[in-house]
Amino acid sequence: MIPFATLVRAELHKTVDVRAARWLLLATALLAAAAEAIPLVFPHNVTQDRASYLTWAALGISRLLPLVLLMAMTAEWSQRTAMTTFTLEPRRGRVLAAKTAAALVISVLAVLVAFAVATVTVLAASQAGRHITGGWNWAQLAGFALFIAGASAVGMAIGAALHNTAAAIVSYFVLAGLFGLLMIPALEKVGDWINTGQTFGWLLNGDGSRHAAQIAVSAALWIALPLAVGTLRTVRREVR
Amino acid sequence: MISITNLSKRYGAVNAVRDVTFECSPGTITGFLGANGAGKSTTLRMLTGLTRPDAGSATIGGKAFTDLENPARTVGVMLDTSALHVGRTGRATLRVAAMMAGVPAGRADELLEATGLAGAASRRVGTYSLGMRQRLGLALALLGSPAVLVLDEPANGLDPEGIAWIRGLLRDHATRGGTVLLSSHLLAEIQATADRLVIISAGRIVAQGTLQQLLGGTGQNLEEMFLSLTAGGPR
Repeated sequence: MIPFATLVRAELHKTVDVRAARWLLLATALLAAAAEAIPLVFPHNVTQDRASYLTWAALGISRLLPLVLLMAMTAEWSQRTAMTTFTLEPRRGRVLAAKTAAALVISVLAVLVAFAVATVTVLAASQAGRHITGGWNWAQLAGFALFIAGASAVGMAIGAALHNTAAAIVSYFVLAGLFGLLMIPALEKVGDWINTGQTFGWLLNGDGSRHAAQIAVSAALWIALPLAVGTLRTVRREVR
Repeated sequence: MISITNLSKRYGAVNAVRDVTFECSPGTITGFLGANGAGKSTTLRMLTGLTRPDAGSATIGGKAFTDLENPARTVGVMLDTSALHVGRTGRATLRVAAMMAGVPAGRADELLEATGLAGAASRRVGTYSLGMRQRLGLALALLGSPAVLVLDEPANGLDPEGIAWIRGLLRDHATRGGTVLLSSHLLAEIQATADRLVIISAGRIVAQGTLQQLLGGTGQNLEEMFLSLTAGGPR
């Protein structure tokens, strides 16, 4: 059997060796850096502690990363590479597991990039005379990492479930729009359980442990469920 | 050795493949001949685990494709060369496949050279001509140095030089004891390349055997025989 680590390595290559993905990844890193302008330029509106610099880096980096992972999932069907992939490894469930693992590796790298961007920004700003307090702890750091991984995983899972790049991207943004509606007071109670914009926000604020159940439910709904649907569809679907 | 036994596949009301049975022996090139829509590609997809048959079975060296440990080392497959990622370069396409097949990256470069794609290796597949995609598809099939080759319309889009090249390559492969199954609707090409023919029409095998067995004594040429066998065939 092809070693699982080999499959993961191949999927990592496939995610980044496509031209569109390279541009998106570059834009992803640039957005993390650009987002740091907000705490820098608005010192009176944004708390000047390290936590808020981390928060803005996380928000920046999680704009486009979900799309990179989404496209890695849909390409097999939209670009029809499933034909090559599944003749090299016919155990389709293993390929999907390798794709998920590769997405996780990329998310971890993104966490490191966002952390580095925030750290460099804080150091540079302090050097220039800005007073930035410590203000973060390990729980907050874990929430920061989980926020980036979780937000990206939603894109990946939608891609896995829908197979079609255009449909998956539209669905991803429509979902984000619908989540916006859940912010209105009448629907807030529901939103607190299904709106990842809200629940993952708690992670980022370091409030994750107080809302663990709500975060878990929303993650199950928008990550675990579409991944399960995607696995079933991938295993059953005829490749043509 | 390829064994296809009583393979059937239905799409709604259409019987795409009906009770298809044939074998391909080591050291031979089998030409799988049929009109467009006759069931060639569906049969090949069932052989390679991409389509689940309604009935029957297909094995390669006694094993179902989906049970092969590392298929690329046993069977090289080229089914549809429009099924390549347009945003990936030729070299990256081969390198990822080499990684999965567990062959050194150097083997990918070697095949780029052998298929005449070395000069275009760092171009995206989206910029390739049909013939170039076809060459890349062949390189993918040859990557794991498999004993069995399954090729759907390999001559499609190749120039005369390319067609002569692939004919030599397949002949050489069979001479060294390899098994080749190639489909085509180009009669002249099949006649020049294959040892044995399997003719499919409207999902059914209508004739199989060597060219001499099929044509001997009929006074027909391959085209006349093919047309008479498949008359009324197309759905």
